[in-house]
Amino acid sequence: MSQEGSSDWSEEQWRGKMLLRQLRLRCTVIMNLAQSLEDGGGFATVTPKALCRLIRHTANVLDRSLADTPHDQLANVNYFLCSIAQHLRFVERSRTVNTPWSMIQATEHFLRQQVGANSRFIIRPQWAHNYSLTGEFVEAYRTEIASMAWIDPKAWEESSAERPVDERVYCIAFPRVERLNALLHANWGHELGHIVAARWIHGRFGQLWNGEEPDMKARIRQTVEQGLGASMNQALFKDLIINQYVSEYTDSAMELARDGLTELICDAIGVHLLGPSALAACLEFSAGFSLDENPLRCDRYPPWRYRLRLMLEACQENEDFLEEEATTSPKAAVYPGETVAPFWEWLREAKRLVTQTPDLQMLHRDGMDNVSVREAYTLVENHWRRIRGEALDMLLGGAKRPYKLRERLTTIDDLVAKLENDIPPNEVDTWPDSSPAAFEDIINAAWVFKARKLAQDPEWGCPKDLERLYRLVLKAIEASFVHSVFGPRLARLDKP
Amino acid sequence: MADLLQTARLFEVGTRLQTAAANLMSVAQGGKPDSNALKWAGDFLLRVDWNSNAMPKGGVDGGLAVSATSARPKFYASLVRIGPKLGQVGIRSEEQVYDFLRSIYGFLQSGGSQVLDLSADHFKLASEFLHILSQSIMVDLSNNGLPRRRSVLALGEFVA
Repeated sequence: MSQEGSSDWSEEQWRGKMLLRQLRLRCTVIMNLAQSLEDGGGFATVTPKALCRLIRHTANVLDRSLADTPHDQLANVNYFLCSIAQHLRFVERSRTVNTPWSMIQATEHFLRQQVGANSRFIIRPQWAHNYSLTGEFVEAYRTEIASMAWIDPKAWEESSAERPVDERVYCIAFPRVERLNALLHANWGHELGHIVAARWIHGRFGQLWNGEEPDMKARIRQTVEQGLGASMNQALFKDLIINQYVSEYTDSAMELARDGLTELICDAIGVHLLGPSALAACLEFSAGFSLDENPLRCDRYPPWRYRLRLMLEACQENEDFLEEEATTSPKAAVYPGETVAPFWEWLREAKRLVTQTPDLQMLHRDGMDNVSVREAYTLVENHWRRIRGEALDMLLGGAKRPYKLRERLTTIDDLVAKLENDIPPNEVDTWPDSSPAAFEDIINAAWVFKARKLAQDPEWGCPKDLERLYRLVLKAIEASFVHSVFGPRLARLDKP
Repeated sequence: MADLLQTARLFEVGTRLQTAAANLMSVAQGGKPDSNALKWAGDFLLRVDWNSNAMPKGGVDGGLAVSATSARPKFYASLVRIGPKLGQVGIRSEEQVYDFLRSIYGFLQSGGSQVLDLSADHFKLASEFLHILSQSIMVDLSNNGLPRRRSVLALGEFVA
């Protein structure tokens, strides 16, 4: 907006000339990159190619409208263009050579069963040692295009059979060094939960926030005024400055509550879909980190201990494994049984962890510097049970029922016995009466087997033992998927 | 999780506020505004400003309430930033700041038909205010084109 001497020069014009040329080139490069990645192929599913087409099409629409773009909006177009270009990395890293390809199709199939056939997933490794979900791409691009008044949204929406318009595209990332660790991939249940959590957040959080914000703002204002004391008395625009403080803390509280609830919903979905294996994976993963860290220091994630406590409560509702010692109770003769008992004992470690409460003390500490955390978690705690129920209710019909390992004991016994004999646990019973094992059963059986081996033999658990287990499980997931999808088709072909 | 829709909504706010800023500048120079762009900005700013004491038409929109909470700290920071220029158009007290803002919201919400006592200088200042607000939202999103700093020991995605 600044002017420099001459009346025919302006910063905006300078920026316009410079950026317009760059943006034309950038659009072309992105379209070409998307095309060459798509042509290069090597993907386990069609989803990465679909994202390539979406990005190519979006860059094309931006390119065609560059001539009509106001100069003061070119920087925003630049931001949008650079952000969609970054999304091509998801495509590049999802090539089969980088993924546990044997379970990609089965995993996408399982994920779509839970959230709908119009959802597509790219599964790719990342060097960061954590799991994540990015998305949803189509709706995000649509919202951004619609905000650009100089683009006719129809130009972007116009139908193309090859481009995902009515579909939802997500990318799930897993830690590269855990590529083979199918047991830890029980965390994918949590990542899938992000789709449901996003539905809840976008559909219901606004209403919740709208009702909570006025009282919260009043409490925060009181804390701020106490905290600032007399230092503000002489300030010009005192009320504006206090409002700035209060609005920052209120915004921070909203983000902490929204992001905290998101993670807690995801954990609840993970336990709901994959049962105790989700808790086991989280327990193992969290062992490497501080359990009671302030969310303000950790990208607004709830403390691990807090998450484990809620997961444990959800698991306990379904499994009843905390009440009695497996080896001493009369009930233990039939439940959980010899095979599962070591796994139950392994999970009881979580109960010991969460009976301590340094996380709660940290979250509810007084003081102006902690006011946003305290307010956010008061909101979470006041509404959690209802929110969890609403989120679980958003799962599709078949997925509404929780996975209960206690109802699968015969199957788990069978699958664990196969693992004991170095056989992939891909089916239950014996041919020709066999049926493909479910994804959830395979993952849970693998955890049961691992806990059992660790209890039986302190020497078990070297990298060679674990890699053998991982490979058996990956093979089982692949074979069971092939069996369940192609078996019925082959049977129809065999009929005279 | 990287929720792209949350990011997209902030991008939407930044882009639409910039469109409104450009329209206000055009009004200051005697041009005709795009009434839709002004109305959207008016509704949004009414949600953001705690002192407006007004609810936008159309009742409660949860999504807008969340975006408003996100934009609010930048709203007050932008107001403080244009503070020295307020005096140049005769605004010297908090009450006058709120009156000025209320007049601007009225103009925006009416789609440009309710001018009241606003002068060209008022429109220029309002345009600058919205431009600063829009830019601070976009800088938050883009980190101004710079890599975000991460500690070497922290877990995170280093390689894009």
